[in-house]
Amino acid sequence: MTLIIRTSNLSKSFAEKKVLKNISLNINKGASVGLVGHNGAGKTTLFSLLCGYLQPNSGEIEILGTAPASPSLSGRLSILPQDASFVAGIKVGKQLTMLAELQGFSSKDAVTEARRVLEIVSLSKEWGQLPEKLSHGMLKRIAIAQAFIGEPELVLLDEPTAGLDPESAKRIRDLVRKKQHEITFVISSHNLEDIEDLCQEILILKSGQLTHHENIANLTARENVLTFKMEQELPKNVENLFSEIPLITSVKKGKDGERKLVVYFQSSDNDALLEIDILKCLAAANLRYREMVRGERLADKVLDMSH
Amino acid sequence: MSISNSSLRVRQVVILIKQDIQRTLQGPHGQLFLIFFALFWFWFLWQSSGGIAQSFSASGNQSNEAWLLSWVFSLLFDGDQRVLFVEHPATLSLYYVIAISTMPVFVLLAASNQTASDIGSKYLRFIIPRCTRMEIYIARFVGASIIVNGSYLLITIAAAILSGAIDPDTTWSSLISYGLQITLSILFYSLPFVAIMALCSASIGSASLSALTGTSVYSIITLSVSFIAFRWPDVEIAGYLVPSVTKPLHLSLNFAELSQAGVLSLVFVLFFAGLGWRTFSKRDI
Repeated sequence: MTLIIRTSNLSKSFAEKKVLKNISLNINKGASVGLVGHNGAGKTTLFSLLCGYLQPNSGEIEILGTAPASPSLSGRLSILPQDASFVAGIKVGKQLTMLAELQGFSSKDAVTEARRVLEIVSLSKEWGQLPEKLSHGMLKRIAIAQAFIGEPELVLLDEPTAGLDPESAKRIRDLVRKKQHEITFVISSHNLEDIEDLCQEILILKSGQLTHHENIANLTARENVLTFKMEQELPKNVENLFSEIPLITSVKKGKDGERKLVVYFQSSDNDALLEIDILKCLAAANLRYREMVRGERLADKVLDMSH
Repeated sequence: MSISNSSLRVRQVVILIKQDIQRTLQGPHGQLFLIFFALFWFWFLWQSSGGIAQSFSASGNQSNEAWLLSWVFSLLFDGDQRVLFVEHPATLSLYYVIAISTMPVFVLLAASNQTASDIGSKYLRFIIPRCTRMEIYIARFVGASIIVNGSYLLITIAAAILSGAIDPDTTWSSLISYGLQITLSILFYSLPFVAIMALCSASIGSASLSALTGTSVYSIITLSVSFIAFRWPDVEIAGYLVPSVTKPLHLSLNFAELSQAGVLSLVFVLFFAGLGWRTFSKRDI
């Protein structure tokens, strides 16, 4: 596997506050990676260091085999910055054209490329619009469009679907899914469903430290686990409900107010019948569920891991 | 670890300069400068069309007409510059003296938004993956210099045409050569002020604050230098803290002194723009 991002003992402080602490990570080409963590965990700071917006206090970074902000990264690395604004007073199409020119397109090709990326976020009609006349969601999509100019090898998306309506968010997810075989994505998001849907690996930051770098498939193994979202609070000794099923290995209850139940069991020849037995136990205790998922949900798993 | 942000590709710089000029011409900050600048010089040309400049070349008695311009000029006028009115077209000389004297005000305003608002709005985050900080810094410096000097060039042409029309015994060839001299002198005199604002704008993420800081700091230093010059006349070195020390050299229009002014201007540019680059290359974007 080719290493696309490598950091070693990366630290960053703002004044006295240490925002990132000794982050060492390796990301391989081709694996889309989700970056999650609470607000203030250091996600945007890590992105900013990778792109050369910020300089680290210590540690090393290598992106696509070179230093951040190296001229050789032009056109190979793209980013959707979280809070950057376009220049007021200059039409959107013109700004995208200029960015394409900076990436090496000729003046004529830059116009074509700018039109292409506006098309992929379904905003072709806004070519002649000024940024200050557009909604937040539209500006977000245009910012996403600029990240797809040319043929980048690595795209960093900071909160790509935050603030978008469901239809636009779906369009962005579809776009990422479609491009995944040619581009490596690193996606920072609070939306864990997006991460589960789009990424193969997950990085969990907690108070500036990288606590986990896991394969999502391992975390959300579909076998031997059933996760329920219940309609009412669970009784205290909920594990007793399943005492008559010997294949049940453990039962986990969500925290107060979560109404979550996770049942782990040993695999057998007939897991389907076992699942029916589990449902019968719930029905016998008059416990109704709203949702049943085979395996564990990433959101639950991450919540557990980040506490 | 240091980021390799000091490479320089001419194509990137040219693209950024084009965008910077377009933004200045279309944006509120640039338009404010252009309106202010145009109004001031329109007023000057209007006042000068009555032939006030000839009164300076003739006897030093100012005409009663255009009294406001005469009053402004009396504040700026140094007896040493009277030779300009005798040896060169008077109206163009009057424009030149006023242009050099008022330049800090206009340039500190015009060049205040080089990297400032883009740092504040984080627009540079779209650009950084595509070009180096050095390319951005140089492009913004050159863009601001083009706006400033382009504006002065237009007024110089207008003043030269007016001078040709109203000053007696003036030939177009003398106007052109004198106009070119003035243009070059304005270019060299303006660059250190653009460099001061490159430093301010790299340090502050707001064009308005950058303009305010630049003018305030410059005013304080100029007043301090004037005070030192008044209190301790032997301490001449203090005058070299501000680029306006080259003003008398520029106004002499003597080749040796103009060359000296050019060298001094370049030293100022290297000093202030160098400090600005040091700030910009290391700052968080």
